[in-house]
Amino acid sequence: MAEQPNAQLLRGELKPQLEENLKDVQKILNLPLNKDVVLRRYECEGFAACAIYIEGMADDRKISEFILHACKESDTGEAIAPEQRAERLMQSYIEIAQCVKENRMGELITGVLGGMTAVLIDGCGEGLLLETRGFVHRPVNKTSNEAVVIGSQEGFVESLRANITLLRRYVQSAQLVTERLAIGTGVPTNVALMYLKGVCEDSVVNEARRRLQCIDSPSVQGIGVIQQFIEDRPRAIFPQMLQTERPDRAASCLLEGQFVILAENSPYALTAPVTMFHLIHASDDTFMRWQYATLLRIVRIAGLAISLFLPGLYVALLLHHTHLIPLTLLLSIAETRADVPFTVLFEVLLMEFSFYLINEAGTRIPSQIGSTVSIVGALILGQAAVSASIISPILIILVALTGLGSYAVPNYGFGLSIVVYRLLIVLTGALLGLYGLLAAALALLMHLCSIRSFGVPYLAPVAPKRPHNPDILLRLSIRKQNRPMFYARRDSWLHGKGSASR
Amino acid sequence: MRRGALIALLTAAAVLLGGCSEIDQAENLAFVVLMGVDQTEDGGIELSVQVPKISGSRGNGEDSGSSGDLVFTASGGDFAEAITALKWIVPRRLDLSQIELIVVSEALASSGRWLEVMNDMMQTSRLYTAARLAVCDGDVQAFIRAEKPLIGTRIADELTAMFEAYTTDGFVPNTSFADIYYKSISAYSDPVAVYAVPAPEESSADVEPASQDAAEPAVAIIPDDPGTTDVETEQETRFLGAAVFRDGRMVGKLDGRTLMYCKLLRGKSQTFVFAHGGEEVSLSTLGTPSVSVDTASEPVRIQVDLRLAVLPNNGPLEYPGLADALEAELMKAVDACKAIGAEPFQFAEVAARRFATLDDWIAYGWRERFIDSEVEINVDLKIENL
Amino acid sequence: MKFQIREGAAASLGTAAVVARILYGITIDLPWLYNSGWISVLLGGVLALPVALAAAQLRAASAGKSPLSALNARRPVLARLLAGVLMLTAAFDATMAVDAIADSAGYAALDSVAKIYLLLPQLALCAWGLTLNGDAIGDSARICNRILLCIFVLFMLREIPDLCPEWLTPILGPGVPALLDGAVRVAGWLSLLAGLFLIAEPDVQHPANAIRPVSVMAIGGAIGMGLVLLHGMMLPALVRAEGFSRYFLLDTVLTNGRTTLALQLPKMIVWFGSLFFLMLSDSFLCAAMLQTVAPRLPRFVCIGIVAAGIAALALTNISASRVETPVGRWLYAAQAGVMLAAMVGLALERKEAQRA
Repeated sequence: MAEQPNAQLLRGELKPQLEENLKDVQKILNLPLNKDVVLRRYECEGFAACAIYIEGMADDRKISEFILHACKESDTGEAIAPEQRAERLMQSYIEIAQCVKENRMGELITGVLGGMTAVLIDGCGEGLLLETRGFVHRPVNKTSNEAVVIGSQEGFVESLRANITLLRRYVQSAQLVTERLAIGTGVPTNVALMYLKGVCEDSVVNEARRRLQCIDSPSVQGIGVIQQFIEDRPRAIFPQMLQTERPDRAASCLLEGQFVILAENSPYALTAPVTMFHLIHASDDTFMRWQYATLLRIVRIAGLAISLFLPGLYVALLLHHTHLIPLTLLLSIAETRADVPFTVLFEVLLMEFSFYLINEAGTRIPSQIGSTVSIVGALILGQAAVSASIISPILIILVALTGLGSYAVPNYGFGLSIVVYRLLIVLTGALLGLYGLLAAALALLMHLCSIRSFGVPYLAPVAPKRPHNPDILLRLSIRKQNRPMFYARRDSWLHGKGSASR
Repeated sequence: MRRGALIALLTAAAVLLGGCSEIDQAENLAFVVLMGVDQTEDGGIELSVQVPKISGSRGNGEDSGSSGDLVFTASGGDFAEAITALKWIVPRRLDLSQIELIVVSEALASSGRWLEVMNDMMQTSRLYTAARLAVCDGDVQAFIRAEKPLIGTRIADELTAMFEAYTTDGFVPNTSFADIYYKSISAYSDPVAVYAVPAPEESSADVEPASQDAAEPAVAIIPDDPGTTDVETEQETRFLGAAVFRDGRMVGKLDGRTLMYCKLLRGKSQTFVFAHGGEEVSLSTLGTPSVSVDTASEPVRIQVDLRLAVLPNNGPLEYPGLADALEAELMKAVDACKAIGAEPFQFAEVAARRFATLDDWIAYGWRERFIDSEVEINVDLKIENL
Repeated sequence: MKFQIREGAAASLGTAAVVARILYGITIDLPWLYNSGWISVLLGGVLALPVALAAAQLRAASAGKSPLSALNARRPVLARLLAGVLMLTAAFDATMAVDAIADSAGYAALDSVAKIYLLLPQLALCAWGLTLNGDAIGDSARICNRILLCIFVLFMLREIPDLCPEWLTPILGPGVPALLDGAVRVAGWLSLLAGLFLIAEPDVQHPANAIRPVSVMAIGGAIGMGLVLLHGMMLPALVRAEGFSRYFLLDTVLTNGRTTLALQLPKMIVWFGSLFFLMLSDSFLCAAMLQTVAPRLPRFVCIGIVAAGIAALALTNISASRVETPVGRWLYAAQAGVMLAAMVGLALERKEAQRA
């Protein structure tokens, strides 16, 4: 694979001569062609310096006030040895909170590209990298895909710094570690790996770090891409990591012994290890009284089962096991189907396709004409199709229930997986009846049991049996939730004796 | 890679080859709701089936009303041949899995052939054997044609409602076809099936009923209430009482009242009305009767202790002679069954406990011993007053 | 890669398989036991108890490894011999299980479909399960055991009013010789657990999940006996029946002559579910033993041989004579013999260790 341009320059270190360094910088950053880059020369204590930053990425006000103005105001005419100029500027002149010395050209350029300001100093082989990020980003707002009734309404945004800050607000612990990595061999993306030291298993953290560092892609543009690179079974349909846009959910994962990955420009956090039950649980289950939470959880699981099995069961019973349908219902179905020209299987597949076509259109359509989709959907799926005897009325109810069931699953990725398996179950039910449907269900269950998420079985703690809190299918009282999660460290300081509630 | 290829190969083979050759859409099936079994004059089997018509609703939400029904009849040398003949004449694929009622003529049920026919029916693929069995006095085909849907748009809702009401009151047995068959080939008590009588075509005052026995149950069951005697009904059949089987053959009939007493002795929970001393007394069973059978004595001694509660009313605090009257009625029921030569009270199940093996039990010859047995019934009344 | 199964998973799988085998075996394969089959199950459990005790001893003596792995390390020839016997018994039982599922599928809907078409989906499922390995099969058995139990309890609540305990009498039913014959067969089915006990790997991370062979066999046997008892209370002894066709027997179990339409669906789910685990358990055992006998065979080839072999056996006369097959009587002898040989091996080793 070809090296990126100016790779040699990027690997090099700063020279003492400012002009030499600036020539290199201009070559690397494609100046004067690249109009975004600003080279601001100035003088301080008799020596030349140059601030390099990218317009829009860095905050102009910080640069002018805390670098340029600060240097000028502090100019005492004192002679400073060339090799000490960087240190002196950093200690006495520049008033930016975060400032590091850096002599590697690659690091300086990476910093500038990220919104920092690099200050190169004539006569000094070291430069300064200053935190001046001030690019525009979306403010913290309500979540769009994980709405809850009770609980925090904040969601992650595209700024990595803002997301880390959000998490740190929820988990104010000295043991919360943020490891920063740059993922992508060509155009790196800043990624943060966060975990609670002493709670999250060291082996899990090490494995996560190793997998992130092994990503051998030129660029990684989002958390979803990172997930596909580091999952245990990327070819499996079910997600093995949890994507959440809620800081409170991510914080809860940290406290339970999971790690969280945040990436620049991704308003989602990625957590692992997860089990299937994490993907079924909603954030506000914990915030409600346990009776409501349990009831809603049962409804959710019932919705999941309905979404997965109802169409397949309908097809299987109608084609192969009419004797299992009560006569009254059967005759009603037969009468409504008498004018429909399609077979049951085709009808179900057609309805599924139509439903997801409307679903997809509704997601992509501009909001101004969004209401059109609902009208069209209602007309197509409802009155017109039934009146024209293209489909039978009972199928409308069936597909509606199925759709509602899949939307009851809080995790979007998991809900999509259900759609894929549902089609498989419909096909096996149509071909082989209950026999095929049950075989497909068992095959799916075995597949789920074989999946691991960073070494944790997907259906744990139910299968295999692991000690757990009564918070899997039913959510019992919060006072009973005092066991450490089975994937956390056994000697976790967070879940030791004395940390449980009264 | 190889694993994936193997799995894909097997799955493709399963998908391509598995069971996709005989799929029928539900609207293309002929669901048999009533099945009648009769014997022909030359000793063959005649089958009559009632199939609801599927007319299509046009999907516009309009009520299509009653779809109507079709009745098909075919005959053959045995049940299998008759079914095959029926499949030829029914224009859609016959589906026997939704049968609500199997009706057999009294003539066939009383013949020695009925057990063989039941055997064939039990071996028939997807014939719903949990359907009720009724024995019909007269022509089965006419009986089935006379069954009309009266409630809703679906055939036999009337039947279901009627059976539920009569079963609750104890006037018809709650047994299925398979129950009859299982008990016919077992060595315990004898089964009873519903007994049905077609009503006369004109008013009962003008026309002789088909048989005197059939008329009696109708008079015995329908209350002598002036308000109901002139009620017109489209329902032309009567399901009253029971047909008693022994060794797979009908040996007698019990009217509704006698059957109700039989059910009391069998331990079925029951609330009923008993006329005593010019009053109607409501009674209810308290638990199951205690039955003891002394198989060592000759003749066999059977002791039944039955507890009944007189339900709360504003009547007297005691009912002299009520227990004796009840005991007498219960004994009449026992005697009626002894006369028929059958034992439908489940005394055999109690007696069988005293034997070690089935061979010993069968060698004991229960049925013959029951006919000569001494039965003692004690009724203990508990009077509950407001 | 080795066929392996954790002990917790093995316990769940073994329980599900044994319950299915007992219920199917007594009601369908041994209908002449009438309503006294539960006595055969009880006696069979007592007969099979030494097998479980031997398995417990062998597991205790091979700490940290499965007994078969430990034996294979010390005495490979003996291990292969024993594995060979267990492989054949598992293959035989798997054939019976595959037949049972095919017959049940035919009863449920696909009665006009040729047998080969009913076998292929099962074999695909079998191959899939073997590919995912024993832990996946066992863990799914653990989950299904709970779901199927809930479904079973729900429909039993509806059927309780129709149960007639008097039909369990006369208590000895067909007589002592028939019951003893049944007991030997039941012991053979229960002894199939021996194979699972021998290959189950200890769960070192969670020792609380340690398998207890006696408990597993007792629980499986007790549940099986309970189900047979319930079946016996659902219909009288059919002493005057003229032969028992497979269809008729399935009908007595699944429809029973009074099961409403609404209950037939959950019954089918429980029935098929439990039979699938029986098939998976036997075929996994067969594959694991084959890998012990021929360790150089790649796993993929083992899976192919097991799936194809079971299919071939299912299409032969061995399964055609399933109701009266004499092989079933020797199942217990074969497996008990294996355990006895293993115990003798263990005793000899201890003696050698003492001398040393």
